[in-house]
Amino acid sequence: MRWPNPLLFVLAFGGCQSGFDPANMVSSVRVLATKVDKPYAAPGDTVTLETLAIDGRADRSRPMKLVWFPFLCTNPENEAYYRCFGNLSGGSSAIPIPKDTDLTDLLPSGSTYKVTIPSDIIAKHAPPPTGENYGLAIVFQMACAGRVKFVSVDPDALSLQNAPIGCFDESGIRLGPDDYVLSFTRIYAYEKRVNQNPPIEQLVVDGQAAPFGFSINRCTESKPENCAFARIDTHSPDNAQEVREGDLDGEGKTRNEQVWVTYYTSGGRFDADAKLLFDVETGRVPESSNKFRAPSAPGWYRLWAVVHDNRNGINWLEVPFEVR
Amino acid sequence: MNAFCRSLFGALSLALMSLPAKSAQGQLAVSAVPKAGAAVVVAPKVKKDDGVQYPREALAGGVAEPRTVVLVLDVSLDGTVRSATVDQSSKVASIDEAATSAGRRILFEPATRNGKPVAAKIKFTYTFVPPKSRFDGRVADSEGKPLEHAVVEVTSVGGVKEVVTTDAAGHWTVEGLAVGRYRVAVSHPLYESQFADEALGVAEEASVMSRLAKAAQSAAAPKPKAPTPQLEEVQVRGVRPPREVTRRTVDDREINRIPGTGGDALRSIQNLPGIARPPGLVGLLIVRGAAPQDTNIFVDGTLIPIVYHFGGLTSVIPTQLTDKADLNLIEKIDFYPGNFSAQYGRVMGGVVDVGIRNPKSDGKVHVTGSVDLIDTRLLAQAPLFNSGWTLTLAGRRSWVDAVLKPVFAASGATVTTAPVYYDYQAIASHDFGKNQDFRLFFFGSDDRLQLLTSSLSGSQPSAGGTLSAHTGFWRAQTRYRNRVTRNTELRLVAAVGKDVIDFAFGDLMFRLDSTPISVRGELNQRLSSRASANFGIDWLATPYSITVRAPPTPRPGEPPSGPFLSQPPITTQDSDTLYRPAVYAEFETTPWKGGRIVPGVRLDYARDVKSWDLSPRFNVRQDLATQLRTTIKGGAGVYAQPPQPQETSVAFGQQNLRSNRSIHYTLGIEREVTNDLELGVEAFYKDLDSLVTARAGNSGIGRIFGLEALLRWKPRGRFFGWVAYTLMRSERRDTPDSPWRLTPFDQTHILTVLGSYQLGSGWEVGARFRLVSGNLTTPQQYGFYDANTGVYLPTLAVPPYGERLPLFHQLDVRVDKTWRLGSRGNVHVYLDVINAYNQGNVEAVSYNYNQTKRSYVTGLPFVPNLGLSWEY
Repeated sequence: MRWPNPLLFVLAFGGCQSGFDPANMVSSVRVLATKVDKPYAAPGDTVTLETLAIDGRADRSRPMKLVWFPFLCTNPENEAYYRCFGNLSGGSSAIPIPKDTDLTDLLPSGSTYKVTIPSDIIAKHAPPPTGENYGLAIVFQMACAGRVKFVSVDPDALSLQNAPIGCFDESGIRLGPDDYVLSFTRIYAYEKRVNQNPPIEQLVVDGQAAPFGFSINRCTESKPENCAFARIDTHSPDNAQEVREGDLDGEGKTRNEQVWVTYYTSGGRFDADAKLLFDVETGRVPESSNKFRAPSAPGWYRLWAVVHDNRNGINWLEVPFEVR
Repeated sequence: MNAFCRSLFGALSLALMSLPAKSAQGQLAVSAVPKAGAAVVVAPKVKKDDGVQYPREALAGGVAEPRTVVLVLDVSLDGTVRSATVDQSSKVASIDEAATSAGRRILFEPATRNGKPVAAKIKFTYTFVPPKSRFDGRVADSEGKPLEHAVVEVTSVGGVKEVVTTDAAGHWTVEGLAVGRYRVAVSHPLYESQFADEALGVAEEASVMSRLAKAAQSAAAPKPKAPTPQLEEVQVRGVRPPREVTRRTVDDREINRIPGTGGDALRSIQNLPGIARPPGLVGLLIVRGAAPQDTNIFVDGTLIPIVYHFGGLTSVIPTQLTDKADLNLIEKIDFYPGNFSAQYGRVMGGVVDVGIRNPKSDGKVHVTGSVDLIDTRLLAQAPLFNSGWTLTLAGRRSWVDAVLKPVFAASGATVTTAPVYYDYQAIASHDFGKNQDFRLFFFGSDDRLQLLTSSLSGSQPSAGGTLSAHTGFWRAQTRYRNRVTRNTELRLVAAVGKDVIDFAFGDLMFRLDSTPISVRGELNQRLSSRASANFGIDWLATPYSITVRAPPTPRPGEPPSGPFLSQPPITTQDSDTLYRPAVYAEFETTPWKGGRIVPGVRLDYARDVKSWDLSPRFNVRQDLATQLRTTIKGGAGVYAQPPQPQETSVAFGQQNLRSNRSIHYTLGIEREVTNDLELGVEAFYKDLDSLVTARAGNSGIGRIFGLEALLRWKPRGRFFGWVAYTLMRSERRDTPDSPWRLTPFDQTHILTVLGSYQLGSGWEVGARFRLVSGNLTTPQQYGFYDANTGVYLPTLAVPPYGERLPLFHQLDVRVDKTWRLGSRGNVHVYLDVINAYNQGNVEAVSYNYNQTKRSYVTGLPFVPNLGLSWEY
C-alpha cells in the first residue's frame, strides 16, 4: 500500500501569494458574502438571502446593480454549480432566450431575495455513502455595473464553466472583472439538522471595543510595512462555535464548527486575508487579531468583518473609520 | 604521531627503499637491517594474511590486467592493523577498497626495537591478478551417453595448444587460459570429429557440450576425418545478465558523489534516464511518465510505503554514513523502469529495489558519524562476542525543525511539533559459511509536524486550524539464502511491519493503521547448461483500519464544485485485510551463443476486488560482440496493478473495480564503446487500459512512449559520469469519449549531465547540470464567486494541464575532501551546492484572489549544504 505524504499537502497549501493586491482591498465591484437566514433549511422552508455587495470603484458613472436569477437549481450533478447552467439559460423545457437579450430590468434586484426550498429536495438527492442525507439548492446572483445580458454558449465547448450570462456596457462591450461578479449561494437542506449564523458582538481595535466611526492615524512611511499598525479583532461569543449535532467523526465523536473572520477594507492593508476564531479541535483561538496599517490619505473609509462557520453560516459587521 | 613513532616510521621507510622487494600476489615481506650501534629494529612479520581476490566489481567493469596497490599499515603493539591507507592507488576504486579491507585483517608479529614490541608503520603491497578463464566441457554420443577417451584440443590464436582427454563421465577441463579466441576441437576414434571457435573473456568459464555422431565406417579401421564445425552448445558464464530488459544499477561511489543529492541513494537514481524531475520540495519518483503510486520501492524485496522524508531532500533509508563504501548501509540500487521480471508485481510503472549491505565480518568495531545542515547520522558496527553474529545499529535525525519552527512562528502559526524526521536501522547477520547466510533487519522512519495556523488565505479560508501530520513505518525483515547444491539456490525474505499515517487539518481527517506481512520465496534451479528456472511466491497480507473525513472526490478533468471543504464532508471508518498472494515462474534459456530468452508468467490475486491477474512476460537479449560487448534487447509483458484502497472504499471509491493494466514494450541496444565508456539506447511504449477513473469505473486508457539514452563513464578510475537523456510523452483518456490529454507527469525532454573527478590528496570535485521541460499546469481565469465561503472560483482551461511551465535548468556543484588520520580514522567534509548559479526555476503559477493576475512561483534558490563525517 503506497501513501501520499500528507506533508506534501501542507506544502501545496503553503504556497505564497506575493506581489498581488490583497484580496481584502475593495476597489472594484465586489460581493463579500451572502447570508441565508437559515443556513441549514428544512424542506418547504422559505429562506431569505441577503448579499453584501460593494461598489469600490473610483468611477461609479455606471451604477452597480445586484440582480437575482429567479430559478432554484436543486441537487445538480456532483453538487457542482456549473451543472446548473442549463437552468440558468432557461433549461431545455423553457422557451429559448435569444442571444444578447438584456435581462437587467427583467430580473429581481436588491440586496435580499426569498426562495422556497422544495419539499422533496432531500428525497431527490442521492444519499451520500455515509451520514445523513440532505438536499442542495443553489441560487445565482450578479452584481453588475452595466447591463446583464444573456449570451449563447457553444454547445461543443469542452469547458463546463462557460456561463450564459455576461455584464456589458451601454455600447455592448463586455465588461471585465472590476465591473461585475457572478456569484452563487448554496443552501443545504436537512430534515432535522440546523445551523445558526455565527453572531458578532463587536469589532476590537488594539484590545478596545471599537466605536462606530473609530479613528486611526494615517501612514506616513513610503513603505506601508514600515507603518505603525493597529490590531483589529472581532469578538464573537462562545456560542458562535456550535456543536455539529448528528455529525460524528470516524471515531464517534461529535465535531465542532470551524469559525473564521475575513476582513475587507476600502483603504489600508491587513496582514492576513482572514483569521481563525474557533478551531475544530482546540476551540477559541487565543490570538486572532489581524495587523492593520492605515492608508496614507486621510479621510473616511469602511471596514467589513465577515464571520463564517464551515456550515455556510455567515454574519458581518460594517464599520466606518476615519484616517487622520 | 609521537617522536618515537616518527623515527620508527622513518627507519622502516628507509629500509623499504633500500631492500629489494619480494613481491607475490598480495604480500610484501619486509625487514629492517640494523646498523652497528643503532637500535635494533625488526619490522613486523606477517603471521596471517588471507590475501586478496580480484574484485568482481572490477571484473564486471571490464578491468582485466594485473593491478598493484601500495598500502601504509599502522601495526599496533599486539600485531593487529589499526589502519590501512592507500599510498599508491591502483586507479580502480574497488581494487583499492579490497586492498585496504584485506590489509586491515592482516595479523603481524609486532615490530620490535631492541627486542621490545613497538607500534610501526610499514608499506605493504598487494598485487591483484585477474583470475584465469577456463573451458569446462562434456562429450557425449548422439543419445547423450558420455564418451570416455575423446581427445579435446584447445588452441589459442597464437598456436599454443592444450590437449586433454575426457574421463569416464565424458568430462574435460582446460584451466588457466588467458583472454582471447580459441579453437576447440573434439575427436574420437569411433565418431565424427567437431570443432568450434570460441572467445573467452575475463574470468569467464565457458561450458562446451559436444555430441558426436558415429562415424560411417566405425566398424572398420578408424581414420580420423577433418573436424567439422558442429559443436552443439557453448555457454559462457561470467557476470550473469539480468532477467529484465533494463536494469540500471548505481554503484556506491556514484551514490555518494552525485552533486545535488546530498549523497542520498534514492535521490541519485533521479538522474537516470526515464525518471522525471519532480516539482521542487516534493519527493516523488515519476518513472517513464507513470504516476508516483505506479512505482514500488522495495528494500531487499520488502515493500516500503514511502520513499522520501518530507521535502524530498532525503530518502527514508540513509546512504552516506561514511566515505568507506563497505560501511554504507546501502550496497546497491537496482532500478527497473519497465519490463521488469515476474518476481515483481502489483505495479505497472517501475520498480526500485534497494540492496542492504551485510555488516562487515572483520571482527572489529566500527563507528561513523556524519552531520550536515539537514540531518545528523550515526552508525556503529561490532561483532557479537564470538557468536558469529555481527550487529549494525544506525539512526538519523533531521535538523530542519530548527530552521522551520521560527519560519512557521513568524507566519503566525503556533508550533507544537516543528517538522522533524527520524529513521533507524538495526542489522544482525550470521554467515554460516560459503553457501548460507541469515540476516535480521529492523528499520523504520518517522515524520511529524503539528501546528495551529490562525492566519488564513483568502483563497482557501476553510483550510486552517490545527494541522497535525505523522507518517511512520517500521519493518522487521528476515532473509535467508542457501545455495543448496551447485544447481539449486533458495532465497527467502519475510517481513512484518507497521504503517501509520495520521493527518488532521481543520475539519479534515485521515488516519490509517496497517500491519503489512509479506513473504517472498524464490527457488533458482539450474536445469541444464542451457536453462534454468525460477519459481517464486510473493505473498502479501495487510490488515488495516482507516478513518477518513474528507470531501467527496471530484471526477477527473472536471472543475471542483467549490473551495476545498466547502461540501459536507464524508466520514467513514473501516477495517479489513488486503490479501494479495501471487506465484510466478520464469525460465532463463540460452538457446545459442550470446542469446538469452527469459519467458515468465505471474498470477496475482487481489481479494479486495476479487481480481485474478495473469501476467505473461517475455524478455530477450542477444550479444552481438563480446570483447567490447554489444547487446540488443527487447521485451513485452503484461503488468497489473490492483486499485488503491481509497479507490475501492465504500465511501470514497467505487465497487466492482478490477486491476489497472499496462502492457510494456521495450527495444534497445547496449554498446561498450571502450572499456570505460558504455552507451545504452532504448525505445519504450506502454499501453495502459482498465485505468481506474473516479466515478467512471475502469474506463481510463493511456499511452506512454519515448526514447532513453545513457552514455556512462564507469566509476573505476578517477572519473565517473554520465549523460542521460529522455524523450517522452504521457497521455490519458479518462473515458472512451473524452479527448486525449497530457498527464501531469509528462516531461518531454529530460537531460542530465554529471561527473565527478578525484583530484588526489583526498580531493574530489563534481558537477551536475539538468535541462528539463517545464512541468504542466492548468491555466486559470476569472470565474465565479462562492458567496458561502467568500472565495473566487477560477474557470479552468480545457483540457487540463495544457500549459507547460518554462524550461528548468540548474547546476549543482560538489566538493569533497577526505583526510586519512591513520589510527584515528578518516574525516570527510563536503560542500554540496544546489542551484549554483541561483536560477529562478518555475515550479508553479500563483494567482491573485480572483485569478486576474498571475506570477510564477520559483523553486529552491542557491542552497549550500556543508557536511562532515568521521569514521573509525
